[in-house]
Amino acid sequence: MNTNTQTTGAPAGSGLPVMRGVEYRCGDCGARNMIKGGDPVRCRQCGFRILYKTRTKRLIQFEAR
Amino acid sequence: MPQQRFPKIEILQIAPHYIQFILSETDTSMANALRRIMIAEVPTLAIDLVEYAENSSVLNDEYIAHRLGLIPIRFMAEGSLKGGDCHTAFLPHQECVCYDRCPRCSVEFELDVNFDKYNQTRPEQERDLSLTVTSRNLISNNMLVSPAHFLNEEEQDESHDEGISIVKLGPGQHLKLKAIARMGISKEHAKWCPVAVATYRFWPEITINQEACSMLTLEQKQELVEACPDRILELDEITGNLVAVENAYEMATFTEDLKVAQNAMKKRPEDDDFVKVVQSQDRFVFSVESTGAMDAEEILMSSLRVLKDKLNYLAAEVEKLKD
Repeated sequence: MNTNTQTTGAPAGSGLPVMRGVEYRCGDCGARNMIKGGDPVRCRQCGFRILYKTRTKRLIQFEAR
Repeated sequence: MPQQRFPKIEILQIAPHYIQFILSETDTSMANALRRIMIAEVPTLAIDLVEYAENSSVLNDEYIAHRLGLIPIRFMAEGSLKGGDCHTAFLPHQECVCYDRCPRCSVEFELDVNFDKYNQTRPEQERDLSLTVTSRNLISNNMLVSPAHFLNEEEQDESHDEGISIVKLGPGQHLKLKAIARMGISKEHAKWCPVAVATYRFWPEITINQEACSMLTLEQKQELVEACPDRILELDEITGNLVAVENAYEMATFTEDLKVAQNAMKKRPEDDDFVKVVQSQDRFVFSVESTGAMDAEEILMSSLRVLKDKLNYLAAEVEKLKD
C-alpha cells in the first residue's frame, strides 16, 4: 500500500512558486524534460514522443505485507 | 468437578532449530490448542514498514517490501545465545504510547547498497557479476535483534552462505531503505510465524497378543512383519517373538494391510487379533521446526505461556459472570 500521494508544485494562485512541471525522461535519448500541463508530449532534444515519468525524490513508505 | 489432569512433556530430540516431544496425559483439544498457538499466536518480530530513499533495482518497491517482511528476525535476550521470546522486550505497536514508533515497540534496519561503490572493492575478474543484496546487508539499530541467519557462530564462519537473497543489483543500481520491524503474531500475517512445521501425531499403541502369536509359524510371523508398509514390527532374533520396533511411533501411519494380513491367518474370523495398533487418545508426538526467528524450545515455552494467559483471561471473565 503506497501511503504517499504525489503532488507537483503548488496549486495556482496560492502565492507559492509557480508550477515547474513534472520531470520526464525521454525514451529514446534519455534527456530530462520538464513538462507542464498543455505542453506537447515530446522530447525537447530529439522530438521522441515516448516519455517516462521519473521517480519521486521523496521518501516512500510501504507496508511489508 | 471433572477430574483434574496433569499433562506431561517428555523431550525426545532437541536442537536449536528442532524439537520433538511427547505430550501425554491430556487430550486432543489440548494438543491441538498447543499446535495452533505455536503456528499462529507466538509473538515474533518481522519487518512491517519499509521507507525507500532510493530504489533503482529491477524489482519494485512493494515487491522488495514483501520480501523483507518474510525474513525471520531473531531476538536474543541480553547474555543469551538463544533466539528468545521477544514479548518481554517489546510492546505491540498498537499498545505503545509513542506517537509513531520508538525503541520500545520497533527496531530499525538500515540498508544501503550501491553497485558501483561496491564494485570498486571487488577483484577485476568479478566486476562483471551482479551483486546480490541479502539479509546480511540489513544493519540493525538494536544489538539484540538481527535477521536470522545461522543458529551459531561456528556454522556462520564455515559456510559460504551469504544470507537470505533480497534482490540482485547491476551497474548503476542503488538500493537504500529503512525497514521497521515490529512485534506481531501470525494470526495477523504469516510473516510473524515462528514455526516452519508444527505437527503432532497420535502415539500408536501396539499390543501384541503373544499367546495368539504362539500359534503362528515363523514364516507367518515374518509375513506379518512384511505386511506392514511402515515396518513397525520385527522378529526378536533370540526368541522368535513378534515385537514392535523401537521407533514405531515415528513410522506407524497405515495399519490396514496388517489387519488384512492377520485376518487371512486367523482360523476363525472371531479369533483374537495377533497384533493390534490403535491411536492413543492421550499421548501425542509433537514435531516443531523453527524458521530461525526463535529457538524451537523457546517456541514451546512461549506457546505454553500464551495458552496460560488465555486460560487466565477466561477464568477471570467467568469470575466476572458469577458476580
